[in-house]
Amino acid sequence: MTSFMIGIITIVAIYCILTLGLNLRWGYCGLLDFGIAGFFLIGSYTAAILISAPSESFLFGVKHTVGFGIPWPLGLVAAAFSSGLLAYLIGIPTLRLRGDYLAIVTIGMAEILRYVVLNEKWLTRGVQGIRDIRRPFESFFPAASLPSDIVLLILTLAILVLFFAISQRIYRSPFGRVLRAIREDEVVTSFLGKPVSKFMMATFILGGIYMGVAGALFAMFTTAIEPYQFIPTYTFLIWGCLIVGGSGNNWGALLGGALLMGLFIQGTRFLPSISSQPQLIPALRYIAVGVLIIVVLRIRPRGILPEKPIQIRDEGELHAQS
Amino acid sequence: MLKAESVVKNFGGLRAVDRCSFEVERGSIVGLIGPNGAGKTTLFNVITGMYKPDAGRVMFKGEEISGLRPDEICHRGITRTFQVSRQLKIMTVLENMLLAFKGQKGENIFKAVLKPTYVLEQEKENLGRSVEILKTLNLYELRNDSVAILSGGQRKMLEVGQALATGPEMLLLDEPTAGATFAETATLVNFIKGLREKQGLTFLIVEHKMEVIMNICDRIIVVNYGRKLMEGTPEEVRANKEVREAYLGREG
Repeated sequence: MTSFMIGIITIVAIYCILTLGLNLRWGYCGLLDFGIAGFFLIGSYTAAILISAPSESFLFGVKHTVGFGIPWPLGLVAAAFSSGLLAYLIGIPTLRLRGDYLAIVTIGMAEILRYVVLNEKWLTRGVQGIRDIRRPFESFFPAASLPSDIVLLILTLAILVLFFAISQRIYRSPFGRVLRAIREDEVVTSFLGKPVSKFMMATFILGGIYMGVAGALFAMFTTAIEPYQFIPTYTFLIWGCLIVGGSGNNWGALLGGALLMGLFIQGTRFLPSISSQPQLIPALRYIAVGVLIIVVLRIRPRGILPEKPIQIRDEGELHAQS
Repeated sequence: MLKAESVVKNFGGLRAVDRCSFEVERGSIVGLIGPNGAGKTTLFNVITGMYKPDAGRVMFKGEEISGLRPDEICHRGITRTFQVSRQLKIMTVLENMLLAFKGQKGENIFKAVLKPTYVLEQEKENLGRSVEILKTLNLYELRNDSVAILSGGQRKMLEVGQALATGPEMLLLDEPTAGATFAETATLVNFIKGLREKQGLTFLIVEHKMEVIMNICDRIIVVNYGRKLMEGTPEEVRANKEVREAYLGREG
């Protein structure tokens, strides 16, 4: 039971990192990103392939070698790099365009990537997925043990806190101010001398890095990944988290992640199962999420913790706050 | 200082700006007038990089600026305001001001995160200058309010203040007193005059209020149907028959 609770906290923290990444992109800068699952996937697969031990397996009579056995910190860095690079490559043709096009391209990209990992079996083993992904300090804490779960929880929370702190600093910085200005009105911002597409690119890449690192943590958490774990549903759930929590507000992102992914998606696992209808509760989950989003939008259209304008009263306060 | 050389801008079959040429001298206040749809705002958009001219070119301080991006043109020293004021409404008045300063070191993402002391020093300095500008525009009391609550005239004033914060050499103001009250108009007119006198700034102003135009402009350019109709001092423009016809129609 303890292990189960630790597992739930870890996975919710991972989703919170995704929500923080979306908050950077959408909440700060107004980038309509529907490719969360794709960035999550690229980070996850990069880390999984690099971290997992070299192993040979036979698949339909063909021998496949997957895994490089690289230390996990390098796997994390590589995941950040690959998802950042993906964001950069997508950003080149799309960030100059209007918001809706970015939405179309990102959701398409996420699905294409999922089909790539489904089919490029030599690299990803397709539907079989990658198994036995090593966890941090596996020689000290054997896999599938409570200490191993705790180690991963601590690592995940540490990264969540780090990313949260980075996001908070950006919000109050001149850089964050430009992002919010772009969100409000791109045209005015560019006439005030800001190279809008450069700011968008930096934000898009940083958001990608958040999501890629979340993916790497996810790979180490589950120790086995397969393409079905990266369906667009997750993209929409993360959007739900941000909308419920309050877009533009990092505390809101955390609250939304905890409430929607924690209480509604994971927490419902504790409900007693209905004997004759075992599939009823899992099905009701998504209905409950939908109801939650509708209710929040009705009562608090800008989320439970909406963004607040920054108040600066005098010079001293600028020092204290920023 | 600013020179337009037979600038042409078409929208489909419509020629919005037709071989328009004019020059604005350093330190002068030039008015740009003409009936609705004459192409004044389009001309602004061509000068500031929103549109590329289909023919002709725009020179600023002897260098061609046509084809540059708006932010690049802003860095060359031209800042504009909009006919319908477009500010960042969720942000506060002060944040709108702080945004506008050029060369902010904290706009680099790494410096924004690591926050070295010189970023804070620069923020403090910009804050001081913002407060100064806001006080002259009678907006200081509203500094921590979101722009959404400002009146039309106050927004126009903030926009001019914001444009000034970019440290321009030349300001292009698109109807700066539209929607402003009598008192606000007077404040703005004095503000503009003061900027020219103290800082030697150059202005190109689109304005429909004739008393404002006649009061502050050294020269006036009149456009109609995308073409330059005439150019001259306020007195010459006032006396010109063609201008009266363009505005009021031909006499019986």
